[in-house]
Amino acid sequence: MPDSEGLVEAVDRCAYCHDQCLAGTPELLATRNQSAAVSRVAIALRTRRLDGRPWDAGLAERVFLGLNDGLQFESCIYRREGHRIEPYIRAARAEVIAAGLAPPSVARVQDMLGATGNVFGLVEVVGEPLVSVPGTPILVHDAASRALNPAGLRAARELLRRVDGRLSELPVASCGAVEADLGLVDHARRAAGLMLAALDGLPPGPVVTTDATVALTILAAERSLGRPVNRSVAHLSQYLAGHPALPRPGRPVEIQVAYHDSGPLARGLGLTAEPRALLAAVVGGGLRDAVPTGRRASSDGPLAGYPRPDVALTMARARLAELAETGAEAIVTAGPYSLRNLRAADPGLPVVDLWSFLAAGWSTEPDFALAGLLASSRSAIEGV
Amino acid sequence: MTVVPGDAELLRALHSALEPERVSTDLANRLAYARDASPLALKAAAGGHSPYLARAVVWPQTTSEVQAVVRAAGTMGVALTPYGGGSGIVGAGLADPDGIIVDMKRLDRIRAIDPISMTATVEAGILGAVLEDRLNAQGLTCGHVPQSMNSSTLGGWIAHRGAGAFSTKYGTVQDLVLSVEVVLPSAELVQTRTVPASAAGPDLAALFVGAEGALGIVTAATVQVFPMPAARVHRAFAIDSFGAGLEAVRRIVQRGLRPAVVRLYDPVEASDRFAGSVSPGSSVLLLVAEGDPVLTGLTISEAEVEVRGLGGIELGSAVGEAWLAERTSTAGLCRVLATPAGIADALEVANVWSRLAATYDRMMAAMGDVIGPAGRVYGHGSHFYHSGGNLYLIFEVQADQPTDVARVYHDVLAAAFNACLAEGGTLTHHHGVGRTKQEWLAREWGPGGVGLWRAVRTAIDPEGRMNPGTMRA
Repeated sequence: MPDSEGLVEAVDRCAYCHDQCLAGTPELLATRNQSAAVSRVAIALRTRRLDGRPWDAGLAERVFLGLNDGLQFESCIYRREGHRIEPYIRAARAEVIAAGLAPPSVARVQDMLGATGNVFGLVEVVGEPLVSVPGTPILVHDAASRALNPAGLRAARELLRRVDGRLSELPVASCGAVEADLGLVDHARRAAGLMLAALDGLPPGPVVTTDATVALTILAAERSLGRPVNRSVAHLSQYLAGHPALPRPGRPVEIQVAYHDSGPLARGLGLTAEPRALLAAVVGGGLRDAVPTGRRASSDGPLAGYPRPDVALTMARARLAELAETGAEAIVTAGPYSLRNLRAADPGLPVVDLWSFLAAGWSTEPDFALAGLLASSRSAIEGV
Repeated sequence: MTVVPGDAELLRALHSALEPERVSTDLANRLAYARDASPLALKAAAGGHSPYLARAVVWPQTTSEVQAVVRAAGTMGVALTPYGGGSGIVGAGLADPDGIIVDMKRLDRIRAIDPISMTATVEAGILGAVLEDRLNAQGLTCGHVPQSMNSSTLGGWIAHRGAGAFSTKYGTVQDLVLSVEVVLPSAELVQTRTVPASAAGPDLAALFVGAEGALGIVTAATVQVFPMPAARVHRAFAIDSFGAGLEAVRRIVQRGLRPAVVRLYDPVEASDRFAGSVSPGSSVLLLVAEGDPVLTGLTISEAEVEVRGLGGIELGSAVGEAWLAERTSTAGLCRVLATPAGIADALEVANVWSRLAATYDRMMAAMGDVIGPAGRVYGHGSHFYHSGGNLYLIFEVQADQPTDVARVYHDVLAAAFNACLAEGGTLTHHHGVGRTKQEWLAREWGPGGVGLWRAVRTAIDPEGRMNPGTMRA
């Protein structure tokens, strides 16, 4: 593992730590196996380096088991110093891949990227703006939103047209977030570079995205690639919550909903109040919060290429149980990956994306529209 | 004498108790359990060495599975060490080298909440932060908030007779536990009765609170819970000396006032923790009251009268906010442990009021003599009672070379505990004895106490299979 970015020091800090992040380690909570604790992974990485041992399949799987969604950071004893585990885990993943020991799930992602440029296998023409109107917000999305939440994307367009009249739109193959997380460094840089180049060619206007990983990648790429985008970058919830043309709330719809914070949005971008404010404007006091919530919200699962689907399912089910405990009739979330993870875990109650929910809530007959949205979601769950 | 059967035989026995995927002899798993948070074990494991490598790790998920594991281990004559979050700091979670680690984290259900009696029946493997979150979702709190909240389990709290930072109001684990469910070394199940008090002989539950898994495996407990506090107020005061601070605290608690948090920092720790908020040389007394708004306000205002009466000067709110934000951090200790020849620990002792200040002075002096210019010692008081309180004596030291670390560590502990015991104190208030402190246990208990403990232990565990490495006196 290269020492240039202080990764060795970061590993050492974790190896000698008291595990105060244990309850914030989703893979440990899902497996109950102490070998999933950050300190134990760090010790394994440290001793492998010190002993000069080659990678083995067992350790390879352990470095890919980490969710890397920032939850540990919330109780990390070194958080004030900006200590993070993700950089060294991703560096370790890159070494594992270079050593030819990538788990099959990661190899499949590599194959998909080679074939289609995205991890979802979508075959499409991307990288050119669908619409480009100077001065309007540019809705940037990658294959994650198109594959995992196409209805939400349609709703997001509707919401933007509602507040701004017009919008620009830039579909890209991949923002590079999944690739970066899996240690596929070249793929990640290429994807982020293509996205920034496409943005360079567009007229002025703020970037808006429905997927926090897209915003995070643009902001990170600005730093790591030294490529300023020279425009503001916002998650759609942030953009809408501060918008002067936001529809004025009418009578609250009588629906109890629980909002689930996705990791990239709540912990990555730090946006927990904005989506709630938008939801509360529709449902009033019907907005429920599970415990834990906000930046400490339990993880719903991974992005992609995760080696243990059984562990991912356990995470999603545990979070669903917390959300169901609120007594809510439906769960609302903003991230495409969260939507997929929660829906895949037999939720038992509708899991709806924030944009579709808001579009229905802002309609002329919100009660009717929301009832229909939840009914269709419920039918989908029940396979009717 | 433990007979070591072959691995295949052991695996066969354990597979009769649990599904094969919940039994492991894999080295990576065994290494993961070869440390807790005790300083020497932690350092050894980080360096890739551990003398505490178990032969197998198992993950039961029900009480009956724990019984089956105990039965299988009994058949094989193999030792068992229960393991929670691995946050113990005295080595009680370290395995016998020929033994089995029983990871309890799959027993993590809340079986029942009785909102009328304000109790919760909870399985022992639940992590503290998870328990608190689940209770919070019901508008409740467990009231037990140790520094290790994120990494310790209910079973660990019980095994070590833990105390949380808010203990002056809510009590320590011995106060919070009403009943326990325990699997004995015979695999027999004992369930004590959940009642607020009983005169039906000695308290059987208390036998297992603080026993560090040496008498059986606690699988569940019924604990008191509390409503989420409607109000929380904190105040911090600079006070001239640590002794004056102790006197203020004594007056507060003996008046019957019960702030949830009462922490008195000596000048060294105060200036470290609250730099910019306190003048050098001052001790700092932090009070946090919570609960019913009326009682909270009254508690703080009356406590303030006592502190001011002894020259306490109120500091801004930054001290309380800093403490609340960073109260689970052990970064200071971990930084020292990460250096090749560094060693650090927080020793928590207790004594009665009449000897508490002398205990602090004597331990500081004794530890300082051993440490000299190679490190420092400082401390604070917390967890106070009508009759006395707890002191933390914290040290950080650099040995001349890494091979000297264990000796230096032992020398500091010997100086500290000899001083404490000479003052009539106890060598541990809530971290427990484990492997680290057992050398001094006989001196604290005396021959009669040691004999009694041995008799109890032998009667319950005649083959010596329950966590045999801990609390040997």
